[in-house]
Amino acid sequence: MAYLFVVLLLLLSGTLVGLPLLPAICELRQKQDAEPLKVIQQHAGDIRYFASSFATLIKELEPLVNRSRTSGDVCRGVLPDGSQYIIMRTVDELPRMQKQNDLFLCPNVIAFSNDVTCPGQIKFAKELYVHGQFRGGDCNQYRAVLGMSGIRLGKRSSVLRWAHAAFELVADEECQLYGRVSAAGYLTISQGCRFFRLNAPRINIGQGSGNNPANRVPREPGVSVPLRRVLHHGDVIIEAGEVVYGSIVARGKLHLRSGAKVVGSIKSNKDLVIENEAVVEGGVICSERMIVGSRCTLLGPIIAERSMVLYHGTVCGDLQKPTTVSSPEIQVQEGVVIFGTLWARQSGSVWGRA
Amino acid sequence: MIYALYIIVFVICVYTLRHYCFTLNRLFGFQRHPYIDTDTADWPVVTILVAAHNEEKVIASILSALMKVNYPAEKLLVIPVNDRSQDHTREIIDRFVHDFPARIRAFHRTGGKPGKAAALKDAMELVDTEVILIFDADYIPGAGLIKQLVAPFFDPEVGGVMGRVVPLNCGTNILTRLLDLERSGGYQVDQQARMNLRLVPQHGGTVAGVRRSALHEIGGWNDNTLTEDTDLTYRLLLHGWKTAYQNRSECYEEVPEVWPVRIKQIMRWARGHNQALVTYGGRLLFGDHHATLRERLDGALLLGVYAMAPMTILGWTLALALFYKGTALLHGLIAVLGVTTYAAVGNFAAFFEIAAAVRLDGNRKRLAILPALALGFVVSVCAVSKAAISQTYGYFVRAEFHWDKTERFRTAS
Repeated sequence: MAYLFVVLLLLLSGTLVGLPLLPAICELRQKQDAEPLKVIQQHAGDIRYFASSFATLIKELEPLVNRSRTSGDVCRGVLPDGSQYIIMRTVDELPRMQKQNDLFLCPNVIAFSNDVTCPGQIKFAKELYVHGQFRGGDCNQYRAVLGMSGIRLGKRSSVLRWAHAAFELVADEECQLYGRVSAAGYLTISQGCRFFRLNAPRINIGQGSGNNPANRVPREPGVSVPLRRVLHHGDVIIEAGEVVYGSIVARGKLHLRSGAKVVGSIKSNKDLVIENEAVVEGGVICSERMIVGSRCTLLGPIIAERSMVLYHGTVCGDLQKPTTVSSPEIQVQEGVVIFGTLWARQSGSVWGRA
Repeated sequence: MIYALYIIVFVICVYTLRHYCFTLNRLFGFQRHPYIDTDTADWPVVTILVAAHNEEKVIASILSALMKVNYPAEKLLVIPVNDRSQDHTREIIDRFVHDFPARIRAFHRTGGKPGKAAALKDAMELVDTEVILIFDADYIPGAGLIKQLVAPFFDPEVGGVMGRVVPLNCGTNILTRLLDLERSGGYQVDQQARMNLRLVPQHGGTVAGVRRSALHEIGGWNDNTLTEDTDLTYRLLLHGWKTAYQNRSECYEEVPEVWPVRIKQIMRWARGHNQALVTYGGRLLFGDHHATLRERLDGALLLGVYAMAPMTILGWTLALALFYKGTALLHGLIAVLGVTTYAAVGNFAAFFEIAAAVRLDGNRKRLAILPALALGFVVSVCAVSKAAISQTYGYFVRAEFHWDKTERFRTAS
């Protein structure tokens, strides 16, 4: 009898230990989730990834686009992803649209084969392709726009996923640029606009900033990296007009007074304040909040881990050596020029000079 | 004896708490990825060192992948560091040099001290760039990886950078599946939480980078260590340089597919880590250097991770001995509560960390394997304890420096 109890106890113990292993054994045999983690994130890296994919799709329709441009024919069909498309020369040929929440809904992929000026209050629920110059009306809503020349978004328009212009892209006042917005030439965003990720050889903040003379301060000749790095354990102040050769790392706050110049990079582990007309030739990195005054020149990548404010006249990067300006929250004043990427992870906004 | 057991229990509880802090931080805390958005820059000239010792099965894959990366070709030089290979590694490298003469420069090492650190040290004579990236030969970098690993070097405080390692052959057998879970927990939660909390992310010696001026400042590669990565992490830290961890800079690796290879690998890691513990532990905690208080504490705990296995075995032994001796460790209800709480919460910490990591990776069904990790735990505890014992013995008999290379399983392409 005692033996039976021992055997039963052993069986019970074995069952209790083995039970949690049952799902493991099943998964090991069936291999339902045994693929390696996907790590090739092309869509995350390249801002033009979606625009390029759509351009490839549209390229197959090129003969139809050309026919529409020359003859004015309206062509209809279905894309490989199942979306219905309409190719047309003018907006007059847009199908009758139903009104939905104050906007007229256009449910198809639209391809304009010519220059076009579009009326306002239209919601383009699918991608929009414009073979020529595009001027959008006010309060339009776009899922995605690809322009083979220039794109101008009317006031209070919004882009939900991406927009790319082969030359210039201008967003008028109070546009909401939720996704990725890029241009192969210039990109201009106006007062009141909100943005996330912008990229262009030159990004003008505010319509007047195109005249802003970039590259006012030439790079220091004859200086090559690496320069000496100085590590400070407390707060650091670089006095007005002072020139520092080498990189500065502050474990506390860092303050560059007006006209100070650093031939190297700077890093603050707390807040970073750069006063007017200061120059930094390398990277500008801040673990908390960054404030950059007017008419500063910052040539390396500019990164703030919490938030960033850029005042008018400041130039980031240059045409030959573009850069990235990134922070979760960015407020940028009209009159700033950025060569490269402006990336606000959570929210970016433009405010006026008045 | 009883006080020794109390100390062990206290240390284990500290590590348990650490696991929970890291996991909760990853699930609910502020996530730091400061450099990942840097996609446009005046990219510096970079040298990539590919450490290779008898790597004929894998070397062609990494060199091919590096020739396709999205980085200005004129700013990238690849140096395969062929360390005394006796297979066809040399011929394969030379073929690539012939095909890409401006982009690959071979470094064939025929003699000298064994070990990766010694090989990298010798290869430095060919390096004249400020940014150096390091890969082991079994890794396969994606197109965007190089820019992501270079971006942190725009920060003048960063001396080293570390990317995330992802097993490619994870579906092969139970061992690779367990290692996949371990890697997930180690990188997705552990490393990223240390980055978030401004602690000490560890340089892994592969999918990694180092600033040449920082390396020069700390005295170059240390060829007397079994884990040059751990050694580098601590020397950088003591000199005021940060190691940045880039969780989204992922790269495929090949993990061991048989237990003996895994055991050899973890024993080498344990010996190297313990070596660093002895070398830097005291200095890190009490020395006059640039590390912050939180870096000192976390750095010390990180140094002690491989000492935990023999300590756990010692704790079990002491507890049993005291039990049979009739010593009461705690009294009555306190003992019951203490043991029950630890059994319910404490033992769960590492599993919780890995489960959170798998969830963050967006996987689900592989979580079913979690209980099988107990098997990996037992093997690791035994292997690491054996390594610690043989290392201590070797210290007294002045055993020679010995380097075990991890065997590869991929078929040569």
